[in-house]
Amino acid sequence: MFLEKNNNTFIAPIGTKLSVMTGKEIFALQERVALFNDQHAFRQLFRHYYTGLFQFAVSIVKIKEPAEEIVEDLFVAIWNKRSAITNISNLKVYLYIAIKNRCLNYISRKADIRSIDPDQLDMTCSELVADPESLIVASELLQSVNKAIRELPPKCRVVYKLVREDGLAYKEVAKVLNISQRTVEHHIAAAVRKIAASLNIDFSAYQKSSGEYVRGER
Amino acid sequence: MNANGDRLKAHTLYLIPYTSYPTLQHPKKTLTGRLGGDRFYRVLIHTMQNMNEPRIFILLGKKLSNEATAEELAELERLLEDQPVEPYELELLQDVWQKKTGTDAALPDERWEKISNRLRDQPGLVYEYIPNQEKKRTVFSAGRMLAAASIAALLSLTVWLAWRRHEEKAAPVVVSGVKDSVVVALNGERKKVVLPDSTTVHLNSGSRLSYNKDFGKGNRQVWLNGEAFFEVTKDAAHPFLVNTDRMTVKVLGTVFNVKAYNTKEDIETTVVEGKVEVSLKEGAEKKVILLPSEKISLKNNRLVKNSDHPQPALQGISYEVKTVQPDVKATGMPGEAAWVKEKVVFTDEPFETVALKMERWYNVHILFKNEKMKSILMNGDFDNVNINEAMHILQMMVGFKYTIRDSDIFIE
Repeated sequence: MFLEKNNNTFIAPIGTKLSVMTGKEIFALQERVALFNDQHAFRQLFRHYYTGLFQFAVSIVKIKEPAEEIVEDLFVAIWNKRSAITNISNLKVYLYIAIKNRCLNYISRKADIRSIDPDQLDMTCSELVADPESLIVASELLQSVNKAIRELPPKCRVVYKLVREDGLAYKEVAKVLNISQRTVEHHIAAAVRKIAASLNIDFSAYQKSSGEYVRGER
Repeated sequence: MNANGDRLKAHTLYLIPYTSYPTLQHPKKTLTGRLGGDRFYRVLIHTMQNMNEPRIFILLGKKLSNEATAEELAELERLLEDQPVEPYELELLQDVWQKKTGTDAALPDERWEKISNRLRDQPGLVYEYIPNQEKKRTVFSAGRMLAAASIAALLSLTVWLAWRRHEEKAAPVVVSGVKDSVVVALNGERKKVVLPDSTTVHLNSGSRLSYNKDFGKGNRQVWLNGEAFFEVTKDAAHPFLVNTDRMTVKVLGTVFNVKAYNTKEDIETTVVEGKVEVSLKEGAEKKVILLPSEKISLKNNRLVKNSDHPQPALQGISYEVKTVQPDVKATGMPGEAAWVKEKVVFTDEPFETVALKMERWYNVHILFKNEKMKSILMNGDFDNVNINEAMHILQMMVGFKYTIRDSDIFIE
């Protein structure tokens, strides 16, 4: 497309961990982009959001390549209008909704769908890996948790991923997916329940006292 | 549909054009109807899945996601009392929730390579924007920008504005309200501006100066974000005002330096010649008069006044006024203003703020791999050296390892 073949090696700084940034820090980066055309700041924003947005895009369009292109196009478009970037008060929600809209546009070129069907979304969650600080040392336990996450119902997994991995607030997820905040609460609760079960944590006392909860899957 | 009215309320309705219906795979129930004209729709009713998760999991989920209110946390405590759950098990759950996932952190870096080429097609364009007049949409190439920048020094007034090429409507440019004229010095560049009253302003890297078009007509007022050195033309009838976020500097005619970056660095005003009046915006407005070779600085959201003129803290604001020594041999000016002579000076400054200065001056990005280095104090100055030489000098002074990759510098 617009991409040139590039042979000059632009070596990215290899950060091992993506840092956590506060809303204030994010906005300071937005200001640097708007005022000083600061590509370093823009790059930090890109690094911060890319993976989550990419995975979200894949969940809608289902294919990797167009999803990559959609995320990149969005960032290029934002850069081209960078002097307005400080008008965005919540960049995270803006990006997720923009990705959703761009993905829907992409899909609607093929089929005539104007709204996400949440049942159709699917997202792969990153696997939990062993690390020295972790309480979980037994690899079977880790695998059991990963399995539980893999086997969450698709819609539930999408909500779980947006909240836990991408750090969206319930309210923000509700906005992005057009669902109620209550639905978000219940999806997260279901995820917690299943993860707890995979860790053999026993909430049985509650089960006995609660008529609405029946052991086993619906 | 009316018969089902109550029932429908409880569900999410999706109106989907009939033709696309086959692409949806999980219809719970469908209704076919006629909506306006001859267009047929099927109404898809998504019955909400049986989502009655037990309260305890709702609350646990909220706690783990930092969504719980104090009441909800208390409620959770009560529910947990009835549980055979060990505190250790709850920690385990929290650990899983907070655990870093095996996300490939290199992925965004790989993709950045691809996207950065597309951004380079749009170099930091600088456009001129004068509102309420015909739009100027000149696009400067990088080369022409350089040429224009050198001409700018000759022109009595240069007005630069970061402006969007693709924007059809003239939109205001961000921050601290709309000003008619904005001059921006990007990282790596310094600019000299002559205002309509022939006041000269040197703008340091990464700074922005703005003023209204009625400047000079009864008022002399500018807004500054960043650092600038002013040589103000004398006009006793019209005081010259420099507004920053946290202090305003009022003068009649004098030479001084104002530093007000939006970073951890101190907010400072240093006087070279004449007399200035600084008003602090915190708490009750407080005015401080500064004489030549005096500097006022504001730290960590407070103003600190130094030992030379010890003054009591006022309404919780303490502030610092220091006497600074002009470097008679080199520039004839205090170190704070040496940058105007293309000299980078730092005196007992932690590496962290030195790095901020260097980032702006050389348009580089400095990353500390070793956090301890941030607090090391540095003294020194550079004269017209490039970034490689500058890093080498710093290395000799304090001793650290660094690597330079393009415009990223890593300190170890």
